[in-house]
Amino acid sequence: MLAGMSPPSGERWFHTLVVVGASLGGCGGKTVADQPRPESTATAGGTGSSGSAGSGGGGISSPDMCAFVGQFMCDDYPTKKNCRCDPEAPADAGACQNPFQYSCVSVPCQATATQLCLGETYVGCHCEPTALTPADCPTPEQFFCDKVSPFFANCACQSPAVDLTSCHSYCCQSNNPRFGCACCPTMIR
Amino acid sequence: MLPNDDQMNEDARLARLVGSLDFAEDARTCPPQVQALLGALWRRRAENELRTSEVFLQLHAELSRFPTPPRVLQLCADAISDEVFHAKICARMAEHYGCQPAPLAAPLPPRSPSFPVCSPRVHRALFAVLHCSVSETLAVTYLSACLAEASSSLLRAVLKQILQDEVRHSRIGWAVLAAPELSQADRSSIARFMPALLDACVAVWLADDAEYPAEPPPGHGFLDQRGIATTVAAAIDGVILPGLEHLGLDAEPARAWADAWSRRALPE
Repeated sequence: MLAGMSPPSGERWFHTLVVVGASLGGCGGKTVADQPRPESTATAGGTGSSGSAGSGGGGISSPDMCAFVGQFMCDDYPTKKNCRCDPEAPADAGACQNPFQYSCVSVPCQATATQLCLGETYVGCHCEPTALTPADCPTPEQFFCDKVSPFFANCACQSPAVDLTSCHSYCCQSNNPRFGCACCPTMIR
Repeated sequence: MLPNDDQMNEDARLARLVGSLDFAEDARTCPPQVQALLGALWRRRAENELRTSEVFLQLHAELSRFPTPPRVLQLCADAISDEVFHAKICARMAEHYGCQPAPLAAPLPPRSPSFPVCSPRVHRALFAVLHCSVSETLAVTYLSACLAEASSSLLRAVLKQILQDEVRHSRIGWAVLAAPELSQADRSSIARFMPALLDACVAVWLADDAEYPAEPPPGHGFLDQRGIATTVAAAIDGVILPGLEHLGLDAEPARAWADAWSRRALPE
């Protein structure tokens, strides 16, 4: 419909509005990955945009069956209801407009007898267009996140700004880009 | 932008947001006429947000009689106070640009939409699709473009706060469309209504308005008519049409309407 124009990106809202919204209604929708695609078998460790994996219409049970673990999507993660691989989901933070948009769902590791569990697994990853960035705060030093790895979570601007010149020393959650700065706690030695 | 705390009423949310904002920036650097215009535009936004709260009140009553999952019904209940919160933020922004503080008049309750269908289930779904899948989705792409246009951190923080809530409001409509209780016949009926729903919403967004400036002051988070039309097209093209297809509805009637509208509204 908009050939020849340079429209603002409506596509970037599709997942966060339609897919997330539909999952609230109890239906995962008719996603691309739901279509039987003979060439699209469940694989692990694929690369970039070629990383497609399909359910063959029958649903899948493990994130390992997707090209990237973060592309594993379910309507309900604890019960693994209507799970599928979404090859359009970002494989990592680099696929989003900025790394602060990258967001995933944390699920406890579930290992079989022959596997070793190493903490949580991050699935259902998507780019969250409304995510705050340090530039949204009056100063980037006021931008703090509860979690910075493997993705940023619960980021917010803290007010009032800390006068860093009053600190004996200060530390930042990140120095490049610089954000989340506060006076270092006094160490009792 | 702050977390939406369900336990917090709109006044508390407003106080928390306002406490995090730097109102000292940018307004005083505008010429007085520009300040007055921006104040009036924010005041209009406040009035529109208050009206939208009334629509969510009606929609909540309807969806409570639809097989709506509790968390979706809760989103709809939250939206009633979200929109009041937005109205208060917008009124505060109007004051920032020099408008005298004035209480917002309680709007007349808008008339509920009426669709010529027999099934109450389809009627309720159409209300949600009209107001959330279409209108709130248009609001999302519009506010996203306003956010990209805004130059100050104050404006960006306010617009982002509103945008974040509108995202949740849009999801209500998509959740309703995904309801397994909607039969294939229901979905066909909704698909046939899509041109009328799009026509009604887009007409409101692009209505000729003598009070709206042809060229809003740049950098203050307002779009000109072509900019608004472009965001409407982005919502239809990028979200609504693929959203219908994603949920197994026939998108062709909506697509035909959108193609014709696009040729009229956005000539090359």
